[in-house]
Amino acid sequence: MEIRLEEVTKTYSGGVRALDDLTLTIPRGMFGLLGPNGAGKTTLMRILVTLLEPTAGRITIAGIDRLREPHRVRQIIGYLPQEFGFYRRLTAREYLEFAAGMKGLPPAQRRRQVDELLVRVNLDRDARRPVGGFSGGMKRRLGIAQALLGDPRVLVVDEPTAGLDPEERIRFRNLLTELAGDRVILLSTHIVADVESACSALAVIDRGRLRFTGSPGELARQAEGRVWQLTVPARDFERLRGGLRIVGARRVGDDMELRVLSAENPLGQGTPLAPTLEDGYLALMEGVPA
Amino acid sequence: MRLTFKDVTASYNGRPVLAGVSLSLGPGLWLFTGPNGCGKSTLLRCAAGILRPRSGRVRLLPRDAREEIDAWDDPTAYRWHLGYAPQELLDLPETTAGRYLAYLAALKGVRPACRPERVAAVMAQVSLPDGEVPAFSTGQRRRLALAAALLNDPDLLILDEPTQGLDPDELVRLRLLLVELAADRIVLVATHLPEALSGCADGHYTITAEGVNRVGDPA
Repeated sequence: MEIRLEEVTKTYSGGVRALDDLTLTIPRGMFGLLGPNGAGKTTLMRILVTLLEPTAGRITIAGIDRLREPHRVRQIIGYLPQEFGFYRRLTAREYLEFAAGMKGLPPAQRRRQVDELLVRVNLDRDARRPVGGFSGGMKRRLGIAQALLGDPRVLVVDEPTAGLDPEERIRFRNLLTELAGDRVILLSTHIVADVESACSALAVIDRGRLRFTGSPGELARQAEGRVWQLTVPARDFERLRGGLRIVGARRVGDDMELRVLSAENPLGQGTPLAPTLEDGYLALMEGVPA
Repeated sequence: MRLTFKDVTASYNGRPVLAGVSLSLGPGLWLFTGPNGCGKSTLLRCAAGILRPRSGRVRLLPRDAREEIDAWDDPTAYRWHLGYAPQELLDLPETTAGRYLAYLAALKGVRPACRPERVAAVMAQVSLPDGEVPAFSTGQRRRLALAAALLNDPDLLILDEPTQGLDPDELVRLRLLLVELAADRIVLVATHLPEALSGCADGHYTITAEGVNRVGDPA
């Protein structure tokens, strides 16, 4: 089971090309989608979940032709968009029962599925409370429960951890990992740490084009041998910023400890560091200056 | 330059969230983290003089000053030294960044003759191009909010969740900017993503129901 995109292009009516000849295979498990704002991540997700039609290209989702049989795709796909509205006065249970009805689940199945999902996302004890009083993390978990109605084999989640506190973020990430076992989960995010700890594979897209696909370790290795620690007098920081690709800095007394991306040892005074996923991403996105 | 919290107690929606917090912070970048609802924003709002503590004092000793200013006894003087960028990005008017900042400079009491220069200076400081505000990306909007907070060249800069919605490249930009700003002012940042900024911070505090603790300090 996988998602296959071949030469997918999306041009909006204003002429903006949000996806440009994108070919990508998304395997089973958690798959991360990274890229700058405006890279085309949300467009890609909206096309997969049949909210948007591509201008050109071929897509199959678990063997189903996305363009010819969108109704069949809808039966196997769940979606948690970035912005998610709730009816504030409905309780969690009422909301899920309503959503199950909208999804066309037979009444006999609704109650059982809603019960199971409330337990699964750890909201069973809050099932009778109005959604309006929920925290950001609880709303995200309710959103995931909604996306899981009908037991979809494919789950698409757009920036799910924005606004969650560290504990909620980890809990939400663990929930997704648990769900990923027998599904394809496509996770779009800005938060590199989420991809690092949860995804076995990922893609980086930029201006609608695929820039990288592979494992988190492979992305980190894009910066192999190019990450340095450099200590300079604090007064030189401003001047060095123009010439060096500085990605981190810390003041230590009158000195600055810099993290620098560079193909060569900066100023001949750097100490090599092991690259992180963020270093790999940054190196990939701009090419490392010599 | 020093910000002092003395036995600050405060409530949020009638629920006590800060119970007797005492802190003393000099120039530098100070991170605050903790679960939603723990009182991070409440602490920052007390520091910004927006929320009145139920008891206790928040005082600022500005640069080159001899006397502390109390956030509630002398709010006008206090705010003159303060820049605050809240978590929510405002729905901004259909105008350019330059005109918007000039308007805010007027509201902040920057003298008319100094306004164009100040606006140009803060835009350069946060690398913000002039342009129509509604067309700005999330990163540019965050930088605009930061530029607005810097208009009066504050000694105390307070940022609530400045990383939200930023892509990795914008995050690096913010990191370097914060280090630069924190060299000669007190910068307080509430964040859910401490790992994105902890490498450049001078200190990191967690806020829980039990109180405020410095990360790395023995419990």
